[in-house]
Amino acid sequence: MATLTNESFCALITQYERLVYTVCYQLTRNAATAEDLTQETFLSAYVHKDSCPAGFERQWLSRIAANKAKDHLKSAYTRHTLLPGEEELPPIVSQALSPEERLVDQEARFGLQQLIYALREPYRSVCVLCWLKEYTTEQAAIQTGRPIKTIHTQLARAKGMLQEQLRKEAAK
Amino acid sequence: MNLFNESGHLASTALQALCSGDELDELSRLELAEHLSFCDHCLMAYTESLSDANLAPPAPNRAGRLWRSVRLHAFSTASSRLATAAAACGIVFALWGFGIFGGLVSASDTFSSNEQTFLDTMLHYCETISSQTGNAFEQLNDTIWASDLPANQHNLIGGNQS
Repeated sequence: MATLTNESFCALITQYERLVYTVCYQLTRNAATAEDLTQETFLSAYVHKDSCPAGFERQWLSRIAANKAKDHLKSAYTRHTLLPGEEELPPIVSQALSPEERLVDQEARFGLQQLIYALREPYRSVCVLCWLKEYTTEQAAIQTGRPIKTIHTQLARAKGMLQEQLRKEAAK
Repeated sequence: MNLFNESGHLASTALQALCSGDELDELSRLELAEHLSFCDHCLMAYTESLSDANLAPPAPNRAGRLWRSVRLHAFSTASSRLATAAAACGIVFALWGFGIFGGLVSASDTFSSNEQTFLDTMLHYCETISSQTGNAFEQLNDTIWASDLPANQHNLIGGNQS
């Protein structure tokens, strides 16, 4: 860890302001938002300047910028997207016990498995681990090398995608 | 477009699309940002792909505005801490003024003296019970010896061997 003085932090701003702005702009595609996020990135970097790894300032600042962009996009995305759970999923697995309904239930399970395997990355691997192999989110996080929070987000988003797919299939 | 390859990392096409400004929808950009926020491998690849020629031109006086926001942040942090400390002091003095602490001290003293009296009483009861129990056992013992043992054994124990 490198301890940054105010002067060295000032030099860091001069050196990497274009990089940070570019990362923010490329991820948000909005000049005004990117400008705000650049300020937030450097402010966050200043507050946590003691944790700056020496020699990796470029990557460190890029990561903070990506995090800021992620938070912004997440809030923007959730503002106009219903989170899974806010509206009820149609019952996929039937509670009925008659042989005919069990058969339908098995078919539904199989169909759902196929849909899960057809999901694109990064959702497929997480869903297969958590829903088909019954890993906990902690185990899935270790297995995939992703943060637990990201696993939760990806599972929630994948649920929304599956819901959409099931609606389309039901409409056919 | 597949943003991720089979190993779960960003595909090179995704990085190219990000750098070249190709049309990526909001969800795709969110997925890219999410991945870059934790994956060292892809972050290195991304930052390496951002050469100076690709970077956006500097905005006028960005550093000046940044320092203003840093100063504002420092001021708001300091004033918030000061306000918290002042509120805590105010509460303490108000409680002191209302005599809460004096009441607590006297209540504590009363409790201590009551506690001592209680302990003394309990000790006294214990001693009484103990002594009474001891007497009762002695009497019971004497009764057993006197009634149950044969006369010759009484003599043996009493030292009368004849």
